[in-house]
Amino acid sequence: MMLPLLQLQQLADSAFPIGGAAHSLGIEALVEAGLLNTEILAAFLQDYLRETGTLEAAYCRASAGGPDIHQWLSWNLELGARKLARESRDASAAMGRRFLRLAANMSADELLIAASDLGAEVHLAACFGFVAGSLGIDAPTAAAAYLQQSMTALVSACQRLLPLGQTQAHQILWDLKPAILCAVERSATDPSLVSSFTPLLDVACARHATLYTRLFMS
Amino acid sequence: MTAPSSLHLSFETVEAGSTILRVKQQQPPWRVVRGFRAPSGETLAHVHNLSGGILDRDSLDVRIDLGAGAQAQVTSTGATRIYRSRSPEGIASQRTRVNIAAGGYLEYLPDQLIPYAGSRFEQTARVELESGASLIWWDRIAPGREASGESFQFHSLASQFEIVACGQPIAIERWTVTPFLEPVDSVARLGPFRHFASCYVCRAGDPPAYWKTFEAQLQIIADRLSSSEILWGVTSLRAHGLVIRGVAINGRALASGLVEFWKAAKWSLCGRVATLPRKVH
Repeated sequence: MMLPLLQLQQLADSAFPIGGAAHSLGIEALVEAGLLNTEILAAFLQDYLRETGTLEAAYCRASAGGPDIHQWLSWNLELGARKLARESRDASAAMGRRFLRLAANMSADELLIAASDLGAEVHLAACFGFVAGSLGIDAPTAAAAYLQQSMTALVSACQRLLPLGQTQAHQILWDLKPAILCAVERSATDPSLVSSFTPLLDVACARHATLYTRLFMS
Repeated sequence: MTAPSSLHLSFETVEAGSTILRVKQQQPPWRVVRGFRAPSGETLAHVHNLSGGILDRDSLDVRIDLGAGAQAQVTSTGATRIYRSRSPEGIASQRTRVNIAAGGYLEYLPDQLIPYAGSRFEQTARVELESGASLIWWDRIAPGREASGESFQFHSLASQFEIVACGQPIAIERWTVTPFLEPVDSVARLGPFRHFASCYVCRAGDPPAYWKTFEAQLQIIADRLSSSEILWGVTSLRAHGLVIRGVAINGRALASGLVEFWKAAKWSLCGRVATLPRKVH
């Protein structure tokens, strides 16, 4: 069991080259509008995990359970339709494609290669679960690792947008662990039944492309 | 579990291309008197809930069908008020199903939804568009009876909304607001805003480039209307449409903003001038 865990650590590392550092998923627009600051960042991330985190964890978790390829592709379409904001949907699709391609090439797993070669619309959360499942990682562990790497990427984005030092950033990440586990627990259901209420974040994602200057892709 | 009260409207084209409304079923509290000719050519139906609002344990069912080429506008006669629920089992619900055939065009423009203190409500809507079918669909949610000092005093408000175009899902929303359990004023949810609205603009079959261009045009309106009290954003869906979303401190600003977007979207989609539906009271 040690080898799959080591492989999972590598896949969930923020240095894994899928372009995660290029996206702020609406956070840059929230900061620019004066709605998000360092004082409320930890609470914001906890609620983000409750809403978006639970939703993505559900698709990650379902994908790790060894679905047939048609079911998995249908979940990807569904997740794409649930990501209303083009910015977060395109980011998720671009990172998903890269993640799947890299994992397929490194592992030489036939199923992953076949899935990657389809060229279909895929999303990062579903790809992460699918790859983790192929390595023999259980679904809750895959979902927890996915959320851990998502939060690491978001906190890293916040370090570039807010007066947030390394020590404080890592304290926030450390303190988020119970919320990650909570989201994983809530995600143990049919992904299509998971609720997510993020109207302000959706508006922020949609407005990001219109900012005068941007650090992150839109 | 009581059987749902059903309303079934069917819009069909007749000779000379005009659209007629057939009320195939209407059970209390639903009431639709007849179709009216809207100034822009659609057939307008006012959906009236005779009980004045949605009551504890109401189960309502709405079906709207548009035949090939039918042009319709559907609105309400006033705000949808969700009354107080008397027990955790007392959840009111409404299910809406819409089918639009090729060349059909539907504007669904209800007044705002107001969940009263202590209410519990679940709404489900599914819209299916055939190739060439068009849709403008808005909804607007208030935090409660603000004039009475109510804001997010309801128990639960849940919504499930899905648009399927050419057989594929293009937009799915599924959310639940439980103000007593999860803080609504979190920046991950509504932040300092209290009202929220969406307006979907779709035509099945138009290429992604059309929607990206249209998104940029509507974003100019969004920028003009946005301020510290209201924020608008426009974004393309994964195919066949876009969505305009707004969050606001004041409900009136959100309502007038929706009308501006609707006018621009209608002109672009079908080259017709939007006129607010006449209300009958």
